[in-house]
Order: sequence, then C-alpha cells, then structure tokens
Amino acid sequence: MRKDDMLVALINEAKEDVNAADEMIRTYMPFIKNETAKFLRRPVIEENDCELSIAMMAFYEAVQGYSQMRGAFFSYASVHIKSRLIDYARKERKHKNLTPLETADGDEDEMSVTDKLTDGSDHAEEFSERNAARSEIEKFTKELEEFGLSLSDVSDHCPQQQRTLEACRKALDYAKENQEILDEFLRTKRLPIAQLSLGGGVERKTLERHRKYMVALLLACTNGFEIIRGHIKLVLSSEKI
Amino acid sequence: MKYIVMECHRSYAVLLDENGKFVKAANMNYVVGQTVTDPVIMKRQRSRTSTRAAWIQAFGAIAACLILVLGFGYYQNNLFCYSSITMSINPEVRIELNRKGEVIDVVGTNDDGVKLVENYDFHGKDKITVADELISRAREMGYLTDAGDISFDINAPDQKLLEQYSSEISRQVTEYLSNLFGGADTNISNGHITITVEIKKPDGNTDPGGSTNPNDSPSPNLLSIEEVKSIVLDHAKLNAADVVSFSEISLETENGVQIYELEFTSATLEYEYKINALTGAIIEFDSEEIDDD
Repeated sequence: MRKDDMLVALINEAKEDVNAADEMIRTYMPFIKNETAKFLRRPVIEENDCELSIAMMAFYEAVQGYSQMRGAFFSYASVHIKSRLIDYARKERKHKNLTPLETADGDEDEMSVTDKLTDGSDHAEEFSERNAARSEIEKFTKELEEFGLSLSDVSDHCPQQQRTLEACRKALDYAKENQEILDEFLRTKRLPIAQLSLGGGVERKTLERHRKYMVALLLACTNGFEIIRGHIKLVLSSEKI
Repeated sequence: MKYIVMECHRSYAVLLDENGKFVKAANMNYVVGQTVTDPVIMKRQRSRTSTRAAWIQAFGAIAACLILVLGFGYYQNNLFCYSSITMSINPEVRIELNRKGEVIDVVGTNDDGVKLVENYDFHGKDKITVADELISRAREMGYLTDAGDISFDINAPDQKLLEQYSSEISRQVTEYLSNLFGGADTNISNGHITITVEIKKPDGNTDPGGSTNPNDSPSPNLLSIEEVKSIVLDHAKLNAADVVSFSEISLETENGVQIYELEFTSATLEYEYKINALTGAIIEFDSEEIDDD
C-alpha cells in the first residue's frame, strides 16, 4: 500500500536526520497529544505538561527503534509512549513524596517550591547567567560545525561507561598541558589521536571509537568556553587561582 | 547532577552533565543555556548489533559445518565399507573394501573362516594379495585338499566396479592358482566367480617342491589330469585350443573303481566323460548342444 510506503520512507528519513524527525513529530502531533491525553485521562496543556515533551521524545525513540518486523508503527509507538509515561509518573510519585508541595512543618520561609528547586540564587542573576551560557553554547555549536559535527553526533558517540569517560578525560588532560596540540588541533581541524594516545596513555582504539566526542572535549579546552569548562570541572592551568 | 541544555529540538534536547557526558533527553520546554536537574534521558536504540560477535558466531558455525562435511567425506572414502568380496573355499571369508578399493577389514564368516583369518594382518595389502595369501594359508592349514572350487562373490554398489573387481580377481587369482596347482579354470557370471582348481593330494615323497607339475599323478598308479585330458580331447576330436573351458574335473570312486569325471565345452557342444583313472579307458561319454539358458 502506498500509504505504508510513504510512512516507512518518513520513518527512515527521521532516523537519520533530526530535522526530518522534528517535522514528523509536528505532523503527528495530534497522535502524540492523543496518546498523552489517554494516559493522563484529561486533555493536554501544551505549555505546562512535561508529559507531552516526554511523549514526543518517546515518539522519537520509537522512530529510532522501529523496523518492519515490529508490526504496525503506530501501535508500536503507542505502546512505547505509554511505557515512558508510566516510568515518568512513577519517578514523579517518588519525588512528590520526598518534596511535598506544602511544607508541613510550617516553615517561615515564604519561598515557593519552584524557588527551592533552583540553585538558590535569585532570578536576575540566573537569567543573565543563562544568557551568557546560551551565547557561549551557540558559539560552541558553530565551531563544532567547522569540524563537520553536530551536538547530536557528539552525544551519539559519547562514552557511556565511567571507565571510558575517564580514559577520554585522561587524554584531554594531556592536551590541556600541551598548548601546541590544541593550537594544531584548531588549525588543522583534525584530531591528533597518535599524540593523545601516546601522551595520555590511552588506547588508540578507545579514542578512535569516540573520536567525535574527543573533538568536542578538545574544543571546549580552547578559548571562549569557560562556562562549559566550569560545568564539567575542566579547569585550565591558566585559570587556576 | 546538574545538566546544561546545549541544544533543543522538538524530538529531544542535548544536555551536558558534570562529568562531561553529552546526553539526549526529552525537551521539557527547555531553553539553551538553562541548567536542569531531572531530565528524562533518552534510551539508546541499539540498532547496531555487535558486528564482531556476529562475525565470530558466523565463522564458528561455518567452520563447524566444514569440519563435519570434511570429516564425513573422509569417513565415506576411507573408513566406510563400500564393497566386499566374499571368498569361499571351505572356509569362508569376507574382504571389506573402502571406496578406493583398499582393504579395510578381513572377516571370517564361518567357523573355518574365522580360524583362517586369525592373526592375519591385512594392513597395507591390496585385495589380490590378501586373497592369494589367504588361499596359501588355507592350503597350509589343510583346507585345500579336495579338488574343488574357490569361489568369489563380489558385492559392489555399481556395475562398473563389480566388473572391474571381477576381472581383476579372475585374472590375477587364477594366475596365482595356476602357478600353485598347475591349472585353474574360471567361470564368471555377474560378480560370481568360480575358479576350479585341480588339487593335487600333498605327496611328500614325489614332489618336494610342492605339487605344481601337471604330469604328476595324484597317486602312483592313477593317470594324471593332463593325460586324461588328452584322452578325452582325442576322443572328441578336439584340439586343446577348441576347448573353451573345463567346467569340471573330479576324481571319484564308483564301485571301488577310481574314475575321472570331466565336463567341458567347445564352441558348439557340451561334453561329459567318465574315464577309468587307472587305465584311461573311457567309461562313458556324452555330448549335446549348448543350452541357451
């Protein structure tokens, strides 16, 4: 059936290209909303309900994991969305028990729960911090493009195990100490794996497998990315107080 | 654990955690640069199976199959009994051959046969050698004392092989037996070979080297087989070359008198003769046209 073929084509495209995936979600938003509403047993409010965001992600996961062996796509997606929503609801329930919406001990603190959940600083500071971070990240994303990478690529090739993360960090530490490596890296737009492997004492194989991630890390070590470095506790020797 | 929002899509957002790990998570109305604490992280879809493990599995399976096939092939050709030759004198033995015609086993199929092959080593010997050696053995053990036949029954799965073994045996074993006994006649019919030999009674005095001289008589007074043959041929007015085969040459006693019975065929006729073994007188004779069976 032609309709099926079209759907399969859409799915395959969405697997590869995040923009196509976003398009697909927009196209099938009614379906996603409907599934969410079924679960919540009430209509969905787009701005407030995190559940909708989760359902959208679940839809995307379904697109990624779908193959024709699994039967009809929408039944598969529906099941997956539901299980994700259930997971979330369970997690939220646990949270709700730990942080009650109403402070039972009659705390004189007038701050709302939402305020408590932030990192304690006041809104204005937080707002400007966030802005600074955003412009830095936008710059980071742009420079990453010059290496032919997107952040999605980087996350796809990011190490999952702590062990591997630490190994990559070791290689990065070596690069930190040797400015020439970073300079050459920026200039040639290529990852000096041999040097990193030798100097950092890390297996070539590991670095090759997580090449895209290593590029992002090395990039973060270059100038202009203090906030990112600060976040991942990557303090350059020049920044040490 | 705190996460910085790095990128936002409808489908998901990319976050960076404090360990330097980039993750995809549900975009819960995030803004780039925002710090969040409780993301709903996307699970990696494991579409890329461990290709190396799959390759090792496939390779192992193929290797196992190959070994089975090769092993079976080897078994089929070398160890599997493909055809057999049953030899009976009195003792009966079966010589088993593999596909290549090599002797893989020699088995006695009656009591005498078992005795005959006891401690016989057939390794490295071809079928003709085995047959010849067993015949010698039989003679030594005293089995070949009466005039008679040594017959071979060939059991092979295809006709070509059957005929090949047939001609091999009839030719070579007959030659061997002729040398041993001074004469042998062969009758072949579809894998069944009968070689008739003229067994000389072992006589220690007159033939020290073994009885191979056809001119010797079975006992001092009786005529030799050669002599009797020439008598009947004369009588039948045939040359030796005219005779296709002697199908029977035996020595019997009738009414106390020792008589040679002979049967032979020429191109056109079947003959039967009874000859007095002492005098050479023809007691009986007959001839008739060959029946087409």
